[in-house]
Amino acid sequence: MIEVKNLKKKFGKVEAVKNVNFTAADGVITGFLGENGAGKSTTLRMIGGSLKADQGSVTIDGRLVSMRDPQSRRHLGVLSDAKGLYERLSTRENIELFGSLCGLDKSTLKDRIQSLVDLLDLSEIIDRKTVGFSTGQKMKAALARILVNRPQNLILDEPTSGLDVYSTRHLRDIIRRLRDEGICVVISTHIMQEVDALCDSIVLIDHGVTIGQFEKQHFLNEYQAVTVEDAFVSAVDRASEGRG
Amino acid sequence: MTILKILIWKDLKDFIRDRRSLLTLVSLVIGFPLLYIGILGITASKVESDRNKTITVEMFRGERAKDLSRFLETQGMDVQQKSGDFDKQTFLDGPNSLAIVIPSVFTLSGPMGGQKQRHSIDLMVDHRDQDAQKQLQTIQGLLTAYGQSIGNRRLLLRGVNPAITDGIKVRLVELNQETMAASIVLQLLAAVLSISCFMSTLYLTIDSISGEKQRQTLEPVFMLPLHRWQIYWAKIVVCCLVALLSLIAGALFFTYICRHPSFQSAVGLYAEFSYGLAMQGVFIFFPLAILAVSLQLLIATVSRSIKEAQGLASLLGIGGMLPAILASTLDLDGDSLVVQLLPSISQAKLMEGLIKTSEIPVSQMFLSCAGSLIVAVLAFFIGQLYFYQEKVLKTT
Repeated sequence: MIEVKNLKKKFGKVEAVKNVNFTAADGVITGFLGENGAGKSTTLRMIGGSLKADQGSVTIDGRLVSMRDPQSRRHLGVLSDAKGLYERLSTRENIELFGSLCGLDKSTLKDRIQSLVDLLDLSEIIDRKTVGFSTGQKMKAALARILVNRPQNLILDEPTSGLDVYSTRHLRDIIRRLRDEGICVVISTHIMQEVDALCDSIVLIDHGVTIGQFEKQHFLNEYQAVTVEDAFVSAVDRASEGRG
Repeated sequence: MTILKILIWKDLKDFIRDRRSLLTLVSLVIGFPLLYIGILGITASKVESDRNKTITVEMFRGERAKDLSRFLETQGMDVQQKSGDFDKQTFLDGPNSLAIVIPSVFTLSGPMGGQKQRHSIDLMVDHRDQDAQKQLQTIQGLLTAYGQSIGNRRLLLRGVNPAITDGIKVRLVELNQETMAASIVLQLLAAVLSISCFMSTLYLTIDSISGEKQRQTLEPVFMLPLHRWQIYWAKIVVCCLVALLSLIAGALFFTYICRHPSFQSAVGLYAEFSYGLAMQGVFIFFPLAILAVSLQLLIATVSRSIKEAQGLASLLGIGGMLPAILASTLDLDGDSLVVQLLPSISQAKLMEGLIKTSEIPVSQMFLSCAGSLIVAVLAFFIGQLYFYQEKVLKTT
């Protein structure tokens, strides 16, 4: 479970995140929604520990996340918008690297990689260097890399961006399967169909402030909308009016 | 320790598969020794060809100094007799850079002329020709020898032994020609090692941090359950290892070429130069290589792009070699504590000592190591502190 409280972050004079609060429960896919520049990625980077929050706190399974406490990230897997694969290493070597850095021994690693090859259909690219991979291949390799440790909490930043229809469907199936295994999944996206198709819970963020956290049906009811897209637009418009 | 080993192995693998870093390293290890030795070979062959080259000298009013003309010709000079008076512009426009002008009152036609007064001749030189200075020295030497021979013959005519005019007889005995050759080779080795320190890991260090920033591979690793210092330490260990290997490979390759008979006969340097001596050079320069790696990693950490890092690291390379160059031109006191501590200068001074005695003084080596390593550790810790700043992920 991920709990975010009163998170604030400034870059110079720009307040990227002003006040973000939400809770992402285990066995639930939480959609983190917001326009471009709303502060989604900055919030996720603070949860991942690569950025330090100016104020507020992030706890993962009850443990406070800190840049200087690596163990606080032990149960977290982050797929950031930058996939960051080592291009001179093969997919297998990329996965092995992350697995061994998370403390997996060789035999466990071997078994896990084989199950990931099956789960993500990696057989064609597993022993290829990742340089020159398509967006879909990069996504699969990066996802395999964070899943090898079987983290209890997953953060996926724009996971389907650039993927074709088949890859998107496949990835959604995988995410659902992970949710069904009891994993806490947070997805940052601005693709409303994705939220519609995947998310159980929705966190709305606008101009660095959380507008609210809703169950999907409650979200539609709250804004008297039929689709998540309509509800999102109404919510953002209402927030803009509120800001004056 | 396991995490560090995993990271070191990953960085090594990444480096070995990076063709650009490898090529830079290999071209440096092979290229610079070859370059220096090539320059030495060219210089040696130029000296040899100059030695065998016939010097041409124009002579005006040569009919008044026929004996001198003959003397110069017997010494291998090409004497071109010119008629008329010497004209400066015509001479400068001509192909030769030396001319001898015999004055009109010069009547000496041979050593038996018996004139009581000393005659002077004018030696004209055109310094625009690169070889003019060397040719001038040769002809001045010959003219002095000619003058001396005339003087000797006059003394003989008067029944005086010319040897009495020599106040002291000097016999040149060269005791250490081989040591001199080894000293030249060691000076070249010092230059090769100094360049290797600052250049061999330049691409690797920049790529391992600035390159990773640009390829966005750092952030996913930052989100793993490991300390950032472990990532930084792994990088410095790999870079230092590569620096050491390049120093050793460069020194071995250089020594191999210098000991090769075909090189020795081509250059004329028969140096008593052992692999052990070359390894002592590596030992002297390794702390400087560690310092260079620390500074390059610091630059890569604070720079926002690969280009910025490469620019700064190249400046560091030039700046790093400058003190050694200054030390060779300025007469610095080798016993001064500052000189013994200063990175680059202290290594140059230690190499000077090695050339003279084939030994490294322990105290001087300790100070040299301490000087370089203190700065290296400082740069390393500043870099590591910066590695914890979020600015480290910023790129332009």
